[in-house]
Amino acid sequence: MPLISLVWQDIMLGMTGEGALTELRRGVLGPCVLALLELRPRFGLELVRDLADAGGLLTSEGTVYPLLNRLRDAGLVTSEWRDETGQRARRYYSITDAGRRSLTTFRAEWARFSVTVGGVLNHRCDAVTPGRKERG
Amino acid sequence: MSGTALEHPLVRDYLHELDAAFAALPPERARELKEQITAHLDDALPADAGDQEVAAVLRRLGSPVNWPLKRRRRRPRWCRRLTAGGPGCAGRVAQRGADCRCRRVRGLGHRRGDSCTDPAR
Repeated sequence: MPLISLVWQDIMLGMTGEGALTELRRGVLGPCVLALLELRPRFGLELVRDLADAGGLLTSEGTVYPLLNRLRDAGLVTSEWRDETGQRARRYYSITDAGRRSLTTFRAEWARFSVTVGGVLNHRCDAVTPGRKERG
Repeated sequence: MSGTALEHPLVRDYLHELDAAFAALPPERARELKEQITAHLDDALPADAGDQEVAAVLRRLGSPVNWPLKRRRRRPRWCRRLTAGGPGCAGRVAQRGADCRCRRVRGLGHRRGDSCTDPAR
């Protein structure tokens, strides 16, 4: 089998398999966590359930916790223990000012990015128009 | 009767699985992650949860083997040959090809005894 066929096969398998979607989900999960925390602080299970309810964002709920810790290390999220009356203490996660700024930036970039990708995927841009003159 | 679902055999097995998966993490990070997952399970499961309910919650959490954990990586070879210089130091390169800890010298082109402020040869 020619090499180019093997390469193409790999790409297509990656595209149709769960791997590419998993990577995509991982990439957008951080901003989604920040967006939920922007509304109000949440404890771990609450945050996980809200993300799961959004649909299609989580393949494995446990991945949220390493992500929260990385967001905190980056200064985008903080956590504090709250001992609410009648309940046991829980760690609540909140967005920081840096997190809000980062989220605002991401929203703008995502809007541009999704328009671009949508245009290419749906053949709505110059780059994929048949008969377009080659540069040169 | 147990007071918490954390004593359920399936949960105990899962917590052991966490310990194994987190073994390569820095101890503080591993302790924190385990505490977070334990709190998640404690919140998600009633004390009298049955096997099926426990299994469903664990399945949704997923195997920690597949989580994107930032593992503690062994320091690269050149990093283990650093001189003792601190920030702003003018330390001496301990070994040919080594980097100074202040990162002003990047290994190649320097010999043992060179100051980290010397230009590369």
